[in-house]
Amino acid sequence: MKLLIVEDEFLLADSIINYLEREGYYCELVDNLADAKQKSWDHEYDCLIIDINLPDGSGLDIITQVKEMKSKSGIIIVSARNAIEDKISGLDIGADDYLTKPFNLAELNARIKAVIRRRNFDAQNVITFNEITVSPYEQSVKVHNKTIKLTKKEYDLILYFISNKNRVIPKGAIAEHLWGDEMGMADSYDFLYSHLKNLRKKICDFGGNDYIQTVYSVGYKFCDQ
Amino acid sequence: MKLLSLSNRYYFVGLLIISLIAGITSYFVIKSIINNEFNDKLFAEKEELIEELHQHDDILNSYNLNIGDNIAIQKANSDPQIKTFVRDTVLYDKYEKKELNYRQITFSDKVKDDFYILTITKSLLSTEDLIQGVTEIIAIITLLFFSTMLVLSNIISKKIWKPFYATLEDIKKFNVKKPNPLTFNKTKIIEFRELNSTLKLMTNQVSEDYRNLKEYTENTSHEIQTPLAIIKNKIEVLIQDSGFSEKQLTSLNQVYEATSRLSRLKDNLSLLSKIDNNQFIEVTELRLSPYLKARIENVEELISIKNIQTSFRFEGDPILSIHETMAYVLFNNLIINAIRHNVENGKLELILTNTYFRIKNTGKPLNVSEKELFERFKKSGNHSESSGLGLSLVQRIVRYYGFSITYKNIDSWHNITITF
Repeated sequence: MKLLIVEDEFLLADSIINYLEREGYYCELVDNLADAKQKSWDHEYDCLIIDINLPDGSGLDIITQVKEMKSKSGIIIVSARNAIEDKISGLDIGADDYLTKPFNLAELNARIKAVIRRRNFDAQNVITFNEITVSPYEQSVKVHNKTIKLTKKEYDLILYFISNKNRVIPKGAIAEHLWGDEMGMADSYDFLYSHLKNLRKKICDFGGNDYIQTVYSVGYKFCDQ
Repeated sequence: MKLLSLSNRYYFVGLLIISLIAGITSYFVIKSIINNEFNDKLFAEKEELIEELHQHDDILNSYNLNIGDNIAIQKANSDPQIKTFVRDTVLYDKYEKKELNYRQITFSDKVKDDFYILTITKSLLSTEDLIQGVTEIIAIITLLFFSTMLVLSNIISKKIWKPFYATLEDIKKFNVKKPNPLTFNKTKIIEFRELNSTLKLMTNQVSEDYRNLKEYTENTSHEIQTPLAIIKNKIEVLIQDSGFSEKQLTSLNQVYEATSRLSRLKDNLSLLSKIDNNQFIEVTELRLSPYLKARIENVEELISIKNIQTSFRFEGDPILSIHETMAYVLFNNLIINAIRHNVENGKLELILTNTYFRIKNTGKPLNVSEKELFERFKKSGNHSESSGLGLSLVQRIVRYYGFSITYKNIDSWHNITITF
């Protein structure tokens, strides 16, 4: 999987690349509009992560170009402006998703996976983690080939965990993924604990293992070691 | 009070006082002139009578002289030594058939060794008529003067102040968000020309300041979010290493969460300043009752985890003209607040009529005074995660749309009412 990261803030780009390379992606970085246009013209990427505010222009121009090329690349906009107009105009010209700074790397990772999944659309596509199988098309989860009934939030939770498997995810990032900015953090932690409890119970009821490990004070890690 | 009615009021009072003084003064002046004239005439008649008496012998027998109106001649035995005097009296007039005012002049004279007391009585009727006539004329002139002044002042004021009112209309239409440069009509009056040019200068300055402030808000938001993103993401990368002690992990998580708080605080503050800068001018027609139900559905799980009983009492279906973001911030904050500060197994009630929306929830008593509740950074309890801006945002939005908001605590229920 090849990603193009268009970000002029080196320290930020550094973290993004560090996180995503461990995920097995091949990442290329450009820090200005001209280079980004050149790169996206020359190569086909699975997903482009584009900061709108670039020193030599607006990242939206890249999207326009990519769309004119009828490229199948997924596009995620990253912007410091939480302005609704930016969001709408970005999605209007063909971006797949929009993230506002400061975002969580786990969130970016999950969004990239979702965008790539949608781009390579196939109803048979499933994500498997040992005995757990998630089918994003049906929005269903199977444990040992038996479908378990999950609420919307529990489904979101397990998909998020599997997308970020073997990574330590701060609980703040999980709460933000599930509820956005609507809840204060301490409130949402209570809700998070209760969802996690239910999810663990449902998976265990069907003979699944509890892969959700608690990382002291920080958050959780979904892994089988 | 309107400018014109105020100036009219001053004109009216001023003119009234002047006309009263002028009217009364001229009445007395005219009266005394006429009186003097009358007295002069009486004295002249006295002289004429004396002359007549001395020249014509047989006049004593005749009472109807062509001098006064009525002459009485009374023979006296000795010199009565009467000093000539004038007095007013009331006599019965058999022609007019009523009592009338007369003036008498009484004097004595010696005619051919005989002494006589002579009285000339003259009717004041014509004099009174004259005074009355003159008074009436004065009154009519005053009245005419009075009304002409008022009518003229109205016409002149309207004409003179016309550019002022035109300017006023122009400024009313001025909107900092869409600053069309003001174009005032040309006027000959220097003061208004100055007013217009000053206003032009001021509005240009205001538009400029507004634009700068807007840019500043957007830029700071942009500039702050990027370093925050760097901190946050560096920590996310850091915690992937397994070499940290629990103490270090706790610190890292605290930094991570503080960053999230800072970013939320920034979001709320820039929202507040956007409201203050009138950046939410566009409105949509929002039907409240389905909107509120959708908002509650959105937070259904938060409600169920605290096991809060929710009930709706919708008695009306008002439609608000409100910006979508503002509606979201307003109602979401109120609902989240009512859930956050609720107790386990508590209750939440939404009441909606055509004139107000009320949200009631059970909860612990406030330790912030009711007045301070809507102020920035006032928090009840030690919820470190809440920014303390929620209700302040609510109040700002309520004020922006001219609604009103009240808080009441009744029997451990918190009631917040928004009246449209």
